[in-house]
Amino acid sequence: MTDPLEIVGADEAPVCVDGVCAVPPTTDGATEEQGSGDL
Amino acid sequence: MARPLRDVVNSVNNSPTRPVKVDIWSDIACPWCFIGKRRFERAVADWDGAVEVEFHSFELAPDTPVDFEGSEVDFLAHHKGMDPAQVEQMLSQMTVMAAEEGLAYDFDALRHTKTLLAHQALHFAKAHGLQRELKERLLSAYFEQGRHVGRVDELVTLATEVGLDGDALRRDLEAGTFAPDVEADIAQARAYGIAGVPFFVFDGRLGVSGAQAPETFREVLDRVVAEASA
Repeated sequence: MTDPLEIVGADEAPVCVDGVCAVPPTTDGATEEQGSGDL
Repeated sequence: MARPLRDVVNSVNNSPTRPVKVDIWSDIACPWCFIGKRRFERAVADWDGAVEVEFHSFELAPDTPVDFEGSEVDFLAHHKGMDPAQVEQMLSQMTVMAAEEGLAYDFDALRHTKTLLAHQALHFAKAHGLQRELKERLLSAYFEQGRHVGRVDELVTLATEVGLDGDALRRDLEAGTFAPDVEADIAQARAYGIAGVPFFVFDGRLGVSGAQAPETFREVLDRVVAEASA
Protein backbone atom coordinates (compact mmCIF):
# COMPACT_ATOMS: atom_id res chain seq x y z
CA MET A 1 0.00 0.00 0.00
CA THR A 2 1.48 3.32 -1.04
CA ASP A 3 1.06 6.19 1.38
CA PRO A 4 -0.28 9.31 -0.29
CA LEU A 5 2.18 12.08 -1.02
CA GLU A 6 1.91 15.59 0.29
CA ILE A 7 2.29 17.76 -2.78
CA VAL A 8 4.49 20.80 -2.25
CA GLY A 9 6.12 23.43 -4.45
CA ALA A 10 4.76 25.82 -7.03
CA ASP A 11 1.66 24.71 -8.91
CA GLU A 12 2.72 26.26 -12.20
CA ALA A 13 6.05 24.50 -12.65
CA PRO A 14 6.38 23.16 -16.18
CA VAL A 15 5.66 19.49 -16.67
CA CYS A 16 5.01 17.03 -19.47
CA VAL A 17 1.70 15.18 -19.31
CA ASP A 18 0.54 12.50 -21.72
CA GLY A 19 3.14 13.47 -24.25
CA VAL A 20 2.28 17.14 -24.09
CA CYS A 21 4.84 19.54 -22.65
CA ALA A 22 3.35 22.90 -21.87
CA VAL A 23 5.45 26.01 -22.25
CA PRO A 24 4.70 28.46 -19.45
CA PRO A 25 3.59 32.01 -20.18
CA THR A 26 6.40 34.27 -21.28
CA THR A 27 7.70 36.93 -18.95
CA ASP A 28 6.86 39.79 -21.30
CA GLY A 29 3.22 39.50 -20.46
CA ALA A 30 2.10 37.06 -23.10
CA THR A 31 -0.22 34.47 -21.67
CA GLU A 32 -0.46 31.82 -24.30
CA GLU A 33 0.11 28.28 -23.15
CA GLN A 34 1.33 26.04 -25.88
CA GLY A 35 1.62 22.34 -26.06
CA SER A 36 4.34 20.20 -27.45
CA GLY A 37 3.97 16.52 -27.91
CA ASP A 38 6.36 13.73 -27.16
CA LEU A 39 9.49 15.73 -27.03
CA MET B 1 34.39 25.79 -2.88
CA ALA B 2 31.28 24.88 -4.82
CA ARG B 3 30.93 21.31 -5.91
CA PRO B 4 30.76 20.63 -9.66
CA LEU B 5 27.17 20.25 -10.78
CA ARG B 6 27.75 16.87 -12.32
CA ASP B 7 29.03 15.56 -8.97
CA VAL B 8 26.46 16.82 -6.55
CA VAL B 9 23.57 14.58 -7.47
CA ASN B 10 25.39 11.53 -6.39
CA SER B 11 24.30 8.23 -4.99
CA VAL B 12 25.38 9.51 -1.60
CA ASN B 13 27.58 12.52 -1.01
CA ASN B 14 30.05 12.93 1.81
CA SER B 15 27.88 14.60 4.43
CA PRO B 16 27.90 12.80 7.78
CA THR B 17 24.13 13.20 8.18
CA ARG B 18 21.61 10.74 6.80
CA PRO B 19 21.06 11.60 3.14
CA VAL B 20 17.70 12.84 1.96
CA LYS B 21 16.35 10.32 -0.49
CA VAL B 22 14.94 11.85 -3.66
CA ASP B 23 13.19 9.58 -6.12
CA ILE B 24 12.76 11.16 -9.54
CA TRP B 25 10.28 9.91 -12.12
CA SER B 26 11.14 11.12 -15.58
CA ASP B 27 11.39 10.17 -19.23
CA ILE B 28 14.22 10.62 -21.70
CA ALA B 29 11.93 12.17 -24.30
CA CYS B 30 10.90 14.92 -21.90
CA PRO B 31 12.36 18.41 -22.30
CA TRP B 32 11.22 19.53 -18.88
CA CYS B 33 12.86 16.49 -17.29
CA PHE B 34 16.33 17.54 -18.49
CA ILE B 35 15.72 21.16 -17.51
CA GLY B 36 14.27 20.05 -14.16
CA LYS B 37 17.28 17.84 -13.59
CA ARG B 38 19.58 20.83 -14.06
CA ARG B 39 17.51 22.99 -11.71
CA PHE B 40 17.51 20.23 -9.10
CA GLU B 41 21.28 19.85 -9.47
CA ARG B 42 21.72 23.57 -8.92
CA ALA B 43 19.60 23.32 -5.79
CA VAL B 44 21.68 20.49 -4.39
CA ALA B 45 24.93 22.25 -5.29
CA ASP B 46 23.93 25.19 -3.10
CA TRP B 47 22.48 23.06 -0.31
CA ASP B 48 24.48 21.92 2.68
CA GLY B 49 23.45 18.34 3.14
CA ALA B 50 23.52 14.85 1.77
CA VAL B 51 21.22 13.78 -1.05
CA GLU B 52 20.65 10.34 -2.50
CA VAL B 53 19.01 10.27 -5.91
CA GLU B 54 17.31 7.43 -7.71
CA PHE B 55 15.75 7.80 -11.14
CA HIS B 56 12.57 5.94 -12.03
CA SER B 57 10.96 5.14 -15.34
CA PHE B 58 8.03 6.97 -16.84
CA GLU B 59 6.91 6.63 -20.44
CA LEU B 60 5.27 9.85 -21.52
CA ALA B 61 4.06 8.49 -24.83
CA PRO B 62 4.06 4.68 -24.92
CA ASP B 63 2.57 4.66 -28.42
CA THR B 64 5.58 6.42 -29.92
CA PRO B 65 7.15 4.33 -32.71
CA VAL B 66 10.77 3.26 -32.37
CA ASP B 67 11.49 4.83 -35.74
CA PHE B 68 9.94 7.96 -37.17
CA GLU B 69 11.18 9.35 -40.43
CA GLY B 70 10.54 13.05 -40.27
CA SER B 71 11.28 16.20 -38.39
CA GLU B 72 10.20 17.13 -34.92
CA VAL B 73 7.62 19.46 -36.39
CA ASP B 74 6.32 16.67 -38.64
CA PHE B 75 5.92 14.35 -35.68
CA LEU B 76 4.05 16.81 -33.50
CA ALA B 77 1.83 17.93 -36.32
CA HIS B 78 0.91 14.40 -37.36
CA HIS B 79 0.65 12.73 -33.96
CA LYS B 80 -0.79 15.56 -31.93
CA GLY B 81 -2.58 17.46 -34.62
CA MET B 82 -0.74 20.62 -33.73
CA ASP B 83 -0.33 23.59 -36.02
CA PRO B 84 3.21 23.42 -37.46
CA ALA B 85 3.75 27.14 -36.96
CA GLN B 86 2.78 26.82 -33.34
CA VAL B 87 5.15 23.88 -32.95
CA GLU B 88 8.00 25.89 -34.46
CA GLN B 89 7.38 28.71 -32.01
CA MET B 90 7.13 26.34 -29.07
CA LEU B 91 10.36 24.58 -29.93
CA SER B 92 12.11 27.90 -30.22
CA GLN B 93 10.89 28.93 -26.77
CA MET B 94 11.88 25.59 -25.27
CA THR B 95 15.35 25.88 -26.79
CA VAL B 96 15.84 29.30 -25.21
CA MET B 97 14.74 28.03 -21.79
CA ALA B 98 17.04 25.05 -22.06
CA ALA B 99 19.93 27.34 -22.95
CA GLU B 100 19.28 29.26 -19.74
CA GLU B 101 20.14 26.02 -17.94
CA GLY B 102 23.26 25.48 -20.05
CA LEU B 103 21.63 22.92 -22.32
CA ALA B 104 21.98 23.02 -26.12
CA TYR B 105 18.70 21.54 -27.34
CA ASP B 106 18.76 20.74 -31.05
CA PHE B 107 15.23 19.93 -32.17
CA ASP B 108 16.27 19.87 -35.82
CA ALA B 109 18.51 16.89 -35.10
CA LEU B 110 16.25 15.18 -32.54
CA ARG B 111 15.29 11.58 -33.36
CA HIS B 112 11.89 10.61 -32.06
CA THR B 113 11.70 7.16 -30.59
CA LYS B 114 10.11 4.92 -28.03
CA THR B 115 12.01 5.11 -24.74
CA LEU B 116 11.13 1.75 -23.23
CA LEU B 117 14.51 0.18 -23.97
CA ALA B 118 16.30 3.27 -22.69
CA HIS B 119 14.49 2.84 -19.39
CA GLN B 120 15.57 -0.78 -19.24
CA ALA B 121 19.14 0.38 -19.86
CA LEU B 122 18.82 2.82 -16.98
CA HIS B 123 17.82 -0.01 -14.67
CA PHE B 124 20.77 -2.00 -15.92
CA ALA B 125 22.96 0.99 -15.10
CA LYS B 126 21.43 1.29 -11.65
CA ALA B 127 22.27 -2.34 -10.97
CA HIS B 128 25.87 -1.51 -11.86
CA GLY B 129 26.12 1.77 -9.96
CA LEU B 130 26.11 4.05 -13.01
CA GLN B 131 22.50 5.14 -13.34
CA ARG B 132 23.26 8.84 -12.83
CA GLU B 133 25.92 8.75 -15.51
CA LEU B 134 23.75 6.99 -18.07
CA LYS B 135 20.75 9.19 -17.34
CA GLU B 136 22.80 12.26 -18.14
CA ARG B 137 24.29 10.62 -21.21
CA LEU B 138 20.92 9.59 -22.64
CA LEU B 139 19.30 12.98 -22.07
CA SER B 140 22.19 14.75 -23.73
CA ALA B 141 22.29 12.25 -26.57
CA TYR B 142 18.58 12.75 -27.24
CA PHE B 143 18.21 16.51 -26.89
CA GLU B 144 21.63 17.84 -27.76
CA GLN B 145 23.19 15.36 -30.16
CA GLY B 146 20.40 13.88 -32.25
CA ARG B 147 21.22 10.35 -31.22
CA HIS B 148 18.69 7.52 -31.57
CA VAL B 149 18.11 6.21 -28.05
CA GLY B 150 15.49 3.64 -29.01
CA ARG B 151 17.73 1.02 -30.56
CA VAL B 152 19.83 -1.59 -28.80
CA ASP B 153 22.99 -0.80 -30.77
CA GLU B 154 22.89 2.90 -29.94
CA LEU B 155 22.08 2.26 -26.27
CA VAL B 156 25.00 -0.13 -26.02
CA THR B 157 27.31 2.48 -27.53
CA LEU B 158 26.13 5.20 -25.16
CA ALA B 159 26.27 2.89 -22.14
CA THR B 160 29.81 1.88 -23.00
CA GLU B 161 30.78 5.54 -23.06
CA VAL B 162 29.88 5.85 -19.36
CA GLY B 163 31.74 2.70 -18.41
CA LEU B 164 29.07 0.02 -18.58
CA ASP B 165 29.60 -3.44 -20.05
CA GLY B 166 28.05 -3.16 -23.50
CA ASP B 167 27.86 -6.89 -24.13
CA ALA B 168 26.09 -7.49 -20.85
CA LEU B 169 23.67 -4.65 -21.55
CA ARG B 170 22.92 -6.04 -25.01
CA ARG B 171 22.10 -9.44 -23.53
CA ASP B 172 19.83 -7.93 -20.90
CA LEU B 173 18.05 -5.67 -23.38
CA GLU B 174 17.43 -8.53 -25.78
CA ALA B 175 16.23 -10.74 -22.92
CA GLY B 176 14.08 -8.02 -21.36
CA THR B 177 15.77 -8.63 -18.03
CA PHE B 178 14.84 -5.24 -16.63
CA ALA B 179 11.41 -4.91 -18.20
CA PRO B 180 9.71 -5.84 -14.88
CA ASP B 181 11.65 -3.06 -13.14
CA VAL B 182 10.39 -0.52 -15.65
CA GLU B 183 6.86 -1.79 -15.18
CA ALA B 184 7.25 -1.58 -11.40
CA ASP B 185 8.35 2.05 -11.65
CA ILE B 186 5.39 2.91 -13.82
CA ALA B 187 3.06 1.09 -11.44
CA GLN B 188 4.52 3.00 -8.50
CA ALA B 189 4.01 6.27 -10.35
CA ARG B 190 0.41 5.29 -10.91
CA ALA B 191 0.02 4.43 -7.22
CA TYR B 192 1.36 7.85 -6.28
CA GLY B 193 -1.01 9.48 -8.74
CA ILE B 194 1.81 10.87 -10.87
CA ALA B 195 0.34 12.07 -14.17
CA GLY B 196 3.30 13.97 -15.57
CA VAL B 197 7.02 14.35 -15.31
CA PRO B 198 9.46 15.29 -14.00
CA PHE B 199 8.13 14.36 -10.58
CA PHE B 200 10.27 14.37 -7.45
CA VAL B 201 9.47 12.44 -4.25
CA PHE B 202 11.42 13.59 -1.20
CA ASP B 203 11.82 11.21 1.71
CA GLY B 204 9.05 9.03 0.33
CA ARG B 205 6.36 11.48 1.41
CA LEU B 206 6.69 14.92 -0.22
CA GLY B 207 5.85 15.18 -3.90
CA VAL B 208 7.13 17.99 -6.14
CA SER B 209 5.78 18.21 -9.66
CA GLY B 210 7.60 19.78 -12.57
CA ALA B 211 10.79 21.64 -13.34
CA GLN B 212 10.63 23.81 -10.24
CA ALA B 213 13.00 26.62 -9.42
CA PRO B 214 16.12 25.59 -7.48
CA GLU B 215 14.99 27.50 -4.41
CA THR B 216 11.84 25.40 -4.26
CA PHE B 217 13.88 22.21 -4.22
CA ARG B 218 16.11 23.65 -1.51
CA GLU B 219 13.10 24.57 0.61
CA VAL B 220 11.83 21.03 0.42
CA LEU B 221 15.24 19.63 1.33
CA ASP B 222 15.37 21.99 4.32
CA ARG B 223 11.93 20.89 5.40
CA VAL B 224 12.82 17.21 5.25
CA VAL B 225 15.89 17.76 7.41
CA ALA B 226 14.05 20.01 9.86
CA GLU B 227 11.26 17.50 10.31
CA ALA B 228 13.70 14.64 10.69
CA SER B 229 15.49 16.42 13.53
CA ALA B 230 12.34 17.72 15.25
